[in-house]
Amino acid sequence: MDSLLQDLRYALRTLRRAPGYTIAVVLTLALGIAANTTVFSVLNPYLLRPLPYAHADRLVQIGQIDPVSGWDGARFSIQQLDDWRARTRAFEDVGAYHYGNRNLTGEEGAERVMVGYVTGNLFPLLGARPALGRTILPSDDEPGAAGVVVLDHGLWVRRYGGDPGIVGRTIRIDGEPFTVVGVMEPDFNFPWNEVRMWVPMRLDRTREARTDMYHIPVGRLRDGWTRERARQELAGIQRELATVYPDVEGRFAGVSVKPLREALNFRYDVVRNGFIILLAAVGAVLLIACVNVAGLVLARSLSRSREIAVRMALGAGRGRLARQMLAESAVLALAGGVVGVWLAWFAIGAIGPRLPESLYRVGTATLDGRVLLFSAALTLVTPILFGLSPAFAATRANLASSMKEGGRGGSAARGTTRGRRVLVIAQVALAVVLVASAGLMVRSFAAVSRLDLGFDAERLLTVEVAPPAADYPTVEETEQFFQRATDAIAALPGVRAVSATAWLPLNHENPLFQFATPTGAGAPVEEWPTAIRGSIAPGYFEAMGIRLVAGRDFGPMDGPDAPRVAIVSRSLAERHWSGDVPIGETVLLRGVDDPVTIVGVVEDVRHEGIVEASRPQLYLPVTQSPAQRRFLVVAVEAGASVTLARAVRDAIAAVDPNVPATPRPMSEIVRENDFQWRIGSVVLGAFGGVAILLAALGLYGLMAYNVARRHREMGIRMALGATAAQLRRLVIGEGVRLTGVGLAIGVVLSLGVARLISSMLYGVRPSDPLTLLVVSVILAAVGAIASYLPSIRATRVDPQVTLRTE
Amino acid sequence: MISLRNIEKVVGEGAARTFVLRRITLDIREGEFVTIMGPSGAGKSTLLGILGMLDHDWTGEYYLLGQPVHALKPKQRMELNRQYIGFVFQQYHLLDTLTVAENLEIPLSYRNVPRKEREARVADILDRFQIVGKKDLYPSQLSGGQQQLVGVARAVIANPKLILADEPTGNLHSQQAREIMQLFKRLNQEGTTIVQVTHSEENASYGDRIIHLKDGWIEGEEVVEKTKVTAGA
Repeated sequence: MDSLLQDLRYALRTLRRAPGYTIAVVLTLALGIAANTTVFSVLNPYLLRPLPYAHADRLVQIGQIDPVSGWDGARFSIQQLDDWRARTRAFEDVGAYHYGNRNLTGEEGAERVMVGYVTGNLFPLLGARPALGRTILPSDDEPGAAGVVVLDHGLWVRRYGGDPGIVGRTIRIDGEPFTVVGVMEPDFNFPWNEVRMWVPMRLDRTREARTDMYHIPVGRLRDGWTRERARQELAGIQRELATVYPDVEGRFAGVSVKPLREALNFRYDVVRNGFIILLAAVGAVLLIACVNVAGLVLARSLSRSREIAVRMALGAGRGRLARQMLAESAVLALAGGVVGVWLAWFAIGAIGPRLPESLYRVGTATLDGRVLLFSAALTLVTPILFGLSPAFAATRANLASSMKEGGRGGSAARGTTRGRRVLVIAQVALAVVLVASAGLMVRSFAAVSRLDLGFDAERLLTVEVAPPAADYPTVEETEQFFQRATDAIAALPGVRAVSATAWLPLNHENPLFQFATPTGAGAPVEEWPTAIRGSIAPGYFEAMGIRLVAGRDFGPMDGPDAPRVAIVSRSLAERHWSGDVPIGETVLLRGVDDPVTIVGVVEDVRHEGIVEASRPQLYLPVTQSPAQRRFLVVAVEAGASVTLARAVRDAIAAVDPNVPATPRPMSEIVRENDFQWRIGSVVLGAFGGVAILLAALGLYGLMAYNVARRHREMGIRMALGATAAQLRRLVIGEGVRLTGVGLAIGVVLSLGVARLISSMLYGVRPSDPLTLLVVSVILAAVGAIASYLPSIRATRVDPQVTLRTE
Repeated sequence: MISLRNIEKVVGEGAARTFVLRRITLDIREGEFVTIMGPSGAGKSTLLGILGMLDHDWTGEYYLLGQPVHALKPKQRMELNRQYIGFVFQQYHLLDTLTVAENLEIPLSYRNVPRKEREARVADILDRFQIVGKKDLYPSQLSGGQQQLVGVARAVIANPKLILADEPTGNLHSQQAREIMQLFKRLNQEGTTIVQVTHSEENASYGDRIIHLKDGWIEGEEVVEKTKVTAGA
């Protein structure tokens, strides 16, 4: 114990006397630990943390496969659900949910919140426990039962100040009273974290048709049932019921049974792919950090070979030497760990709040202890492992010559230098791979940013508004409300145009029409083509910046009783009228009796996704296709969208204070869609930067060390007449050669890695020569600079002093 | 005390094979003060390294106090080194990051001497070598002579039977050199066997016997005439 403390004391003192080395190792370790811990901690809630439900591995979501759209998550009606539940043996129980934005009013103010509608058995099925009160029970779900509501923990704290007396209070949702019966635990969320409260469906089955399909079933598999077996059983039930209900079950072509986490996260594939790429990137950073630390420790140990030889001559055994080295490594590792945790904590705090809210996650991004331990263990082993090597090498070496050689550079020095060269080449190669991947991601993001969405997102404010049906029971009253709200907003300074739509592009709502031209109407209705359905107010195209190609916009003449009219997108017109402008032509819509006449053609809009080829669009006037909930779209002057948000909210509140409105810039909705490239560019860019920094440090360290080791050689060369430029070339030449080899290996590796990430790329080839060229130039420049500084030192050698001290 | 039989040391391989020591056969009695002399490259320091068990790569037989060193494993040799040998180097080789007192303590610490005893022995040796005032200084704060004084103190602190000194005064001016040699003489008179390597005739005169090496061979040996020994030792 006594000598252990002595070792630690000496270690601290030794490191204090070598501040450059200590700082380099501690920083490198810290960066490695921080990068790894941050990535895992940030992705943990999305992919790894257990779902906040009991035995979640047996929970699945069930969908029907729609052969028309190809979607495998088509919903169920309550009638279907009852029939399927009665037949299945695969599940202990099956519940269902759906959700939607509702108006929450009261003395706390009006706001629009997402409400989850659940069957009475859903909470027991999830095994969810409340923090306060109780959850929703089957008895709450009877038709005619009193309205009860369970609150999300976050909403309870934010809106109700965490009032412990909340249970028993009545709150109003869309004007209807609900009694609060419970508050959930902070980590609970279902089906994702934007849902702020849950109410029972209380469905009257006599009023529900089999075609009212808006329920999403969630089931708990019985012991011994796999998802595949359950899927086969359900597909059998679907086939059996299809004979009875050809218009409902008969419309679908199979069943999907997905693990709950995968089903709830609608961008699961993107997140998982992103995770794998980030994992590889952070792994590369970690590897570079380890390689760097190994290089630093090796160089340091070599410079200490004389000291180690002296210690052995004084009687130190291998074990004792190892302990001394271990003490130093442990001090370095501990310091690196502490700084790493601090960096990670800071990074997680900065990144956490910027993550997309709309993706399903469990809890928030917090510093994850297990990940921290893992990365700390990995990085900390490096200095310990490499720190011990001189102790073992020393016992094999000839101590007498070690003492003479010291830092002068004998065979041991040459061996270590060879090892370090390999390490530096490896660092450069890994850095090339990371920076090239980051480059491809940046180019993808640039390509995505340049895409023509078909509308102008930058100067657009959107507001979701739904006047409660209780206060606005007729279509006319609803129309009047929207007209007043539109007029009030239009009067605001800075507003260029205002209109309304039932569905916004890129907002994850893709309502479909099946339609037919008069010539195609003979085909079976199931085979009619689909189009994205629009329901818009006059002036929508102008406000959105969507170009009118031919014909006219909707206007006051297109009232509810006027002839039915439609506007189609250019691709729809081109596909079905072979390039002719179909103004005056008619289309049939599935489920609508009268044909509608096309009065205009507009540019296509990217509705379903930012890079996906969108289906063509078919717009109807909102007067002929009424919608209680609409998005007001407000075109504003440049840069005014943020400042106008409050004025727009106030304008709507002035029309009716009980109608909540939360304006949101359209650019924010677009960002939700391009987050994979945005985050990919930023994170890979950051990792690429760290990789360059570490590789530069590694190269600089090696070159500086070589210059120091070859001090005598430099002295002799100068004495023999070498000029400063010649000595500089000698040093830089070696650095550039090493960088060149690393670059070549890195470029080859990059080509392989780029193919692996090709699914995340857009508008750029994985083997993009420009990216590789730019990366090569950057790395070559970094290599030259990292070698230049030590080369200056080489020219400052005083041959007389150097040779005399030898 | 030391008995060497046909010790040979070769460096390099194949055509580059060179003998550094050839058939060295030599006996050193306990309490002797032996000097090894010879031109550069004669193999003096190599022989000292073998005697001190810093070099394991040789052939022949080496007995130290009756123990066959040639038959021992490196770990056992280090054990013998710890038990019987102290080193003094031309470059002093003090550990830069340790104070004088800590440098003196290191050999004791490697021999697992308890802390109390270590402290007592360090205090004793500081007193004996009259360097108490320097105990908290670092090597870089000492002159060459002072550093070598600490080097010798460090060599004797673990009470070795044998001190091996490689050019101990090679970096010192003549007055400092004389003081160090007188110190060696006193240690020898107290019973410590000393083997030194030196180029200096004056330093050699402090010993009992001189071994002359040339090109790895023992060229001859001579007994030092006692009358030459400087008075005051």
